[in-house]
Amino acid sequence: MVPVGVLAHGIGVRGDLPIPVWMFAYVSGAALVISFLLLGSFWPKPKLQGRFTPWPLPVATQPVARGLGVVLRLFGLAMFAVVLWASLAGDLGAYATIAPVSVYVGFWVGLLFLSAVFGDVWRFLSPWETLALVGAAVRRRFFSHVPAHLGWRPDPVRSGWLGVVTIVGFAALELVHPNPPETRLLGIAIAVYSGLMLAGASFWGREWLRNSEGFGVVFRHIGTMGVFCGDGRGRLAVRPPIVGLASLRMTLPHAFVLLLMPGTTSFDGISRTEWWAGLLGARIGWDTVGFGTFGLLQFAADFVVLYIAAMAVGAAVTRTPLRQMLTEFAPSIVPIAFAYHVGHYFSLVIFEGQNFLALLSRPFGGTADLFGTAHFEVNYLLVSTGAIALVQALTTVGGHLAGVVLAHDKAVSRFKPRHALRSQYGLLVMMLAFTIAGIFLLLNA
Amino acid sequence: MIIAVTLVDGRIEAERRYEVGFGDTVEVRVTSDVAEEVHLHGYDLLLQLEPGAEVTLVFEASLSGVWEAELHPSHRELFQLQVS
Repeated sequence: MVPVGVLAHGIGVRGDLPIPVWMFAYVSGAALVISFLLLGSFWPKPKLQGRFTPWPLPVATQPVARGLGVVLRLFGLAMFAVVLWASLAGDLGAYATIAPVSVYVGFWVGLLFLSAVFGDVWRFLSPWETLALVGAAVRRRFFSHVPAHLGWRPDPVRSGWLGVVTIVGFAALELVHPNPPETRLLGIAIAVYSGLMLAGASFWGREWLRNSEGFGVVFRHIGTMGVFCGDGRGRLAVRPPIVGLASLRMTLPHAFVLLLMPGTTSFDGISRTEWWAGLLGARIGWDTVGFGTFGLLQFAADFVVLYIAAMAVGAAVTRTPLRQMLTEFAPSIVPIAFAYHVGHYFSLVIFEGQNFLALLSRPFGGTADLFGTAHFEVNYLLVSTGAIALVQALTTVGGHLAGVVLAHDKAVSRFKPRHALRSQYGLLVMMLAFTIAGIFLLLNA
Repeated sequence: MIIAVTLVDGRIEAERRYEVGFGDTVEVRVTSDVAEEVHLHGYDLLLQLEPGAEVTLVFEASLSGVWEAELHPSHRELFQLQVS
């Protein structure tokens, strides 16, 4: 068993090098310049809103797309079954079974990156979606006389708060628990969560899952940046990257779910710093849980509070209800959340992802070697440290640029020109704070 | 590059992080009064500590990144090695 040390949360052995100071200066400078250029070169008419209608793929390719959807569903179900069994009954240890790497690296990082590039793939991979789909078909076929749902239906917007609980809970398991890859705990967590999701879906259908399943909410919103999407009539369509965010409508709970992403990731960053180590002192193991819980909630709350403050400024100058500001500008958070994720976990997916090859051959542990790859060792020279730092810096700048451009475009489509510019001051300050804080954490890795 | 650390009454006397250059030859010297084992992650090197004696581990810093040297079985961090 390879134990997991304090360098790595959730899972992982290697820690990133701190990014060079000059890179920190360039990224912060670029973020500042981008922000002010945008204020100066104020465009009075929206350039993104409603401009990009997804372009359906040719009719001939649609059956291929549907077939691919089925393949993804089967793969998702199979991986779910393997991970659940591996974590409930497999060997114990971070790398003993396929479960911890699949959850903390494959699912939470790899799948998120794939979503950003390709679109909402979780819609097909989600075992809960697929099981709910099968369940609904069985009900229609055999139990159509039984009432379809209870008399009471949860509010579709308010049930999104369940996602907030899920993301904080998952972050606590990954970042606060002293031994995150604890296999059985992971298995129990997956089983309990699956039970809740399937119960909800069987009462209130897949729409409920889309609103309440926290991971699905994250993947769907991040997937709005991807190039593939539906055209609203069941056909697969393509669009340019990122612009999907311009037509994204978000609810208040979902905005908070997305805000938790940079919040929890920055706690991951801060808890690797010298400063945090000093706070913890000689505490190890379970003695760190109090500090960890407080730190996690504190950082998650910081992002939420800063966002509300920025929106309150915009609401005051434009005389718009705060709640409306909070939901209308929420899509700007999505690229920032993604940039934080890349900044912290890019090298994790590159290096730890290689373990997946070995673990596929022995998913439940033991001495199995299904595909002859069980003894594959991680190549830590696959990507250079310079390339990693460059990816971290470029994504941070790109996320900032996408966020402020989206917000600006939204503002000119919503407000009179006079108000549009002023509504942006608070938001620009917030974005700058998010970006510089993000890159500052990479400086102190 | 020589990294000298000591363990006295279970207390670690070491810097939190040592920085070495990629390709450098690193010599880790540990004096300890407990019989633990040092595990350098990533490099996957083990160093058995002997109470009252100084033990050394010599290796080439051939993997860049930040790596943890951890004590077994107490699972405490002895130091971090930053290779850049």
